[in-house]
Amino acid sequence: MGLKAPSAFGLKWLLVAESLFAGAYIALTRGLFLIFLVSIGQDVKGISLVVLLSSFLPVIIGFMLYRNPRFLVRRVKLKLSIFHLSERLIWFIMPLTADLLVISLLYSLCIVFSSFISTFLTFTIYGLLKEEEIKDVTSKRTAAGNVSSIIGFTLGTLLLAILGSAEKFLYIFSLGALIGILSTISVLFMNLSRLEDAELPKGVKEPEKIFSVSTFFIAFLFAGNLLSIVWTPYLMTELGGPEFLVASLSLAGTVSSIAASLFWGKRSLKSLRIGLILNVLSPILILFIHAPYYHLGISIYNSFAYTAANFLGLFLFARYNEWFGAVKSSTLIIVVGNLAQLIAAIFGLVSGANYLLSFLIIIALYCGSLALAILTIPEVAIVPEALARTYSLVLYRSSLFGYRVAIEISKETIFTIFRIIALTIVFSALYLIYRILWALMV
Amino acid sequence: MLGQEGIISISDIFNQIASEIVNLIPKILITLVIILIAIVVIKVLNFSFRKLLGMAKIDEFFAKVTGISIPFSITNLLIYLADLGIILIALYSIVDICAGPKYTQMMTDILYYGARIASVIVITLIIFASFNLVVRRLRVETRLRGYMFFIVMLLVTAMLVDITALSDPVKSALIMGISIGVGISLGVFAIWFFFHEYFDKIFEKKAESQT
Repeated sequence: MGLKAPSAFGLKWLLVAESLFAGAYIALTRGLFLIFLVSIGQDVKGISLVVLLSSFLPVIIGFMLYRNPRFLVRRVKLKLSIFHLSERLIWFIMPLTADLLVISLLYSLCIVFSSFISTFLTFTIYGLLKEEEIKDVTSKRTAAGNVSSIIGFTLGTLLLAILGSAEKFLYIFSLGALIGILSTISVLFMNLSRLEDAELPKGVKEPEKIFSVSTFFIAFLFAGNLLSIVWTPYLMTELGGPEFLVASLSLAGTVSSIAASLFWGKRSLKSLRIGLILNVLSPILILFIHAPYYHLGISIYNSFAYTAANFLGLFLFARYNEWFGAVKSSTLIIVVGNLAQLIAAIFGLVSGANYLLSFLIIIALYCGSLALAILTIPEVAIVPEALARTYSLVLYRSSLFGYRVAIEISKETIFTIFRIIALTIVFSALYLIYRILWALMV
Repeated sequence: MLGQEGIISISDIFNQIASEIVNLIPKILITLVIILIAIVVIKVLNFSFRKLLGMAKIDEFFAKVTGISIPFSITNLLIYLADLGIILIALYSIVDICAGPKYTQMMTDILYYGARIASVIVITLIIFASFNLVVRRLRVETRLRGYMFFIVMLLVTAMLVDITALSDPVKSALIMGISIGVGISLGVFAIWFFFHEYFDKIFEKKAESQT
């Protein structure tokens, strides 16, 4: 690629610092956003509208960036800095209004900026670091972000309790944004000149590999996101868990993922496979253990295993980065993540309180992602590498064929609908003309 | 005196003509407006129908579904039908405004008669098209083709008799005669078609016994 900097030491620590400050910033702003919406009198409908609207945008942006990656490789630092700063500045304005439309627009803008930031940062990591360095920096950034987010949430909870009701969000969001600006300063110190005009691969060498990893990662992240949506209400309504347990669950999970990031960060891809296998047990344990307090342990276990499986996906992209290119890798990771989140959000809304169905789907998705990984991804497969490549190729080709057929059928259906509409208009007009004539004749 | 009376009567005539023209002017203007509106509507309809039917690809769809290629375009047919409808509406409106309801009734009668003639033409075309199709598909022999053509002609004649200005008893007598003729010829044909081999054998036997 010719993008790797000779010494990435400074960049690595700047990236970790960015994540460290961003963790607290996110906890104090986006982490408390739903509470803010409730405090200004929004009901479930209003909240759903804001969340759903903001879930769609990153997917669209991700697809646009994947199709037109040239935007990413020009004036990288300037664009990243502007998006980074703009996102933080929005949180100064957010508490000044109670209008749902303005809030929706501001939050959507914030999500759009965040989507660009994630893509640019992933591009920075994949474009300037080697595979081992990517692993190292990913694990350290995850750990730092989680440490900082614990501090952020603690601070947020304290401030919510201490400050007066009228202007507390003004102070909390402003504090969060100020901490966020510290992470922007970290970005300003990064040397991203080598990312300028980065090479864009003309074609994908092994598309079946990218397809297998992307499919695995979407299935896995969809299940993970759905689990995070379903678990809390299940624990509170079905198992009767107290509110503080839910908060502790989140805290335990975050602490566990800090340790997990450091533990799994240096492991090989084959070792991370164990995490993926362990991860399948999490929803089964949640479903069958009915004592709410035991869920604290499950949360620690789940975060530990989930981090490994998540790293597996990220590290596989880091490996393919060599020939797939940093630009495509980074945009695809973001697209996959956002798409999984959107599908999970929609499914969560549709499935509602049908917990059994949701958990069964999560288990099936985890099993499916595990099967995909161990059968079609040569780096982690339990079958011989050549066989895994064949499976991967078969999966890719059959999916491609299915995709083309589906597109063709959809196109035909849409055209047929338009034709029927056109014919209906014509015949309605004829009927109208002759009905008038009949009225004149009789 | 006579000259003066003559001048007065001519002036009366002119007065009458002038007053009639004055009375007619609004009607003429309304007629012109109706014609203008009809032309605009026809233009708009033609344009939009052509676009919509072009999008619907009705001719292709019809050919694909039925497997039959018809000698005219369905798109054009629908457009002509729409145009005809608009022209008739405009005509009715003009007749109603200019001549009154009595003439509207007369026009309706003419239209009914025109519709009957049109229906006979359409049915004849359909019968001949079906006839052609059957002949082409089944590769019918010349004699049989002649027989089928004869039957078709009889049916068409019956329909033509129906729209002539003959009196009703004559019409019914002619149609009755044609119907009986068609029935008998179909019956004879059916007997020949199903039993001709049997009859051939009987006649052969008779011929052999005579020799």
